[in-house]
Amino acid sequence: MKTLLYVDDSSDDRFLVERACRSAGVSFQLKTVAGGIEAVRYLSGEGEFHNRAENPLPDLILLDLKMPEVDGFQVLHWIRGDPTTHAIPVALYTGSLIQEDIAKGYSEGANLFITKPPQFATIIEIVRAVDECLAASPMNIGAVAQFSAPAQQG
Amino acid sequence: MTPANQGPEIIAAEETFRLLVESIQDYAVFMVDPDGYVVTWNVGAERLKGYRADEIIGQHLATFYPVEDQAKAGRMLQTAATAGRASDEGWRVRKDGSRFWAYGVITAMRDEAGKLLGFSKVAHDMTELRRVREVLETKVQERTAQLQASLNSIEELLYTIAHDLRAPNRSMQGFAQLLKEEYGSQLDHMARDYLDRIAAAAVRNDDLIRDLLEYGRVSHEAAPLAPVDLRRAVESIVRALEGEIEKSHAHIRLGREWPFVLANEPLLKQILTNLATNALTYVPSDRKPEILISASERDGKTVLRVEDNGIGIPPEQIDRVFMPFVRLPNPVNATGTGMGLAIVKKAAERMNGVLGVESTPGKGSCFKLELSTA
Repeated sequence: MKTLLYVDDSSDDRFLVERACRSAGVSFQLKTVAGGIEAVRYLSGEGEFHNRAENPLPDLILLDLKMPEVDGFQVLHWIRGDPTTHAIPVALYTGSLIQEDIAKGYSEGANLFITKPPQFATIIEIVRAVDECLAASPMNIGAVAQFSAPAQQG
Repeated sequence: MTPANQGPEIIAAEETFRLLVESIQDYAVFMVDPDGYVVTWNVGAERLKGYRADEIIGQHLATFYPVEDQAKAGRMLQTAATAGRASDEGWRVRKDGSRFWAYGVITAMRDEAGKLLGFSKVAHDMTELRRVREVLETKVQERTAQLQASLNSIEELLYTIAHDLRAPNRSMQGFAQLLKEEYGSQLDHMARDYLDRIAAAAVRNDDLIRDLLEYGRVSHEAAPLAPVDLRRAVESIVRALEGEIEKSHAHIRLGREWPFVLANEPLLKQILTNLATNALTYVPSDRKPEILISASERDGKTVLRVEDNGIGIPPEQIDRVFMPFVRLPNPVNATGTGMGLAIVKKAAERMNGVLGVESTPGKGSCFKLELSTA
């Protein structure tokens, strides 16, 4: 089974994505962590995450940007610098609409930049697209691209 | 006129003029011969440069220039001989070696036959003025940097606030939706309607924040102008709006003349998107949207037109449509933030464009954007 790791400090957003996955009946396993430090611990298999059977390395990471302590950019930097995680696709999933964040996200190695939608129905569409993306062999990140800001603006 | 027929009045007038020049204290006024050697000297020149007349007459103009700059004296004389006049600002040297900042004008003096008799030179000490100017310029730079820094921090704050303001909208909309889905069977029609209203308000609030951010971005982001292919810009927007065009069964026609315009492509596309979206939205429900997008070029200016067959704008409201947050009462009950046309206006201003609208209520509107042809 494919695994999506969702990193977000907002418990509301985590709940809504979990609930959207249930509504959409997705076939991947969703793992959530509540911040940057926890994300790095999960990806390193440290402490409570040491059991890789329970906490497998994800096939895709959905990563919030604005988080206290360790933010999304720092996590992304860590992911791209670590030999076990550097190739995992990362979709930034953020409330930010700032062009600088989009540019920085891509330059730091993000594969997609998704702005969190206000409609629950759109969250369901996004997780459906993620499901389609993970189900394809090889994995097809293009399925989620319609929700993503392009790498180059204008 | 020759000296032979100069009357006593003329000689007296020349003497008065000589005394006048010699007594000017704040300006150095002197003459050099055609080769640049000093021939007359006034009191102002003595005060400014420190030489007495008997010390300097016969010396070359280059004496007053710093060593590294002495060739300039010859160039100045040459320019004055050719063009009649030469002026410059720069460092000069006094007799004691100290420097001062001077503004000087050299004028060629010729007789009636055009023969060069020499040059007059008028110079003024600008050292203090230059110092004040430098202090002022430094102050202006400091203040500008301070203002820019506070503007940047305000923008940063605005973006942070906007980001944080969006989060509750998602929760409100999401949980209202979940409540309706999971407990809808236990609610009556009115309670479900309330939930719909909460959800719709959250989405509207989010749209407002996004539009405010867009307005701020359009107002402040760097927007360099370059030649833009108007046809390609229009076609790409029509393609991007394909879904909405289909949904509203609209018919879009494009003009034939497509000049290149001097514009910022992202801003131009923003304008086209907003105008075309309005044209698709503000149409009576019993009418299919008919939209004509065209351009024409005349005298270095290109006018882009977006015409629709929509509800139009009442004449008394037409001045208000481009104001931020202004939503006109509309019979089609279209939702909106009232920022779309304000963004269009701001984007047009950033491209030195002129925006206008003509409208007939019930028949349609024509939005016009005039830009420089590239």
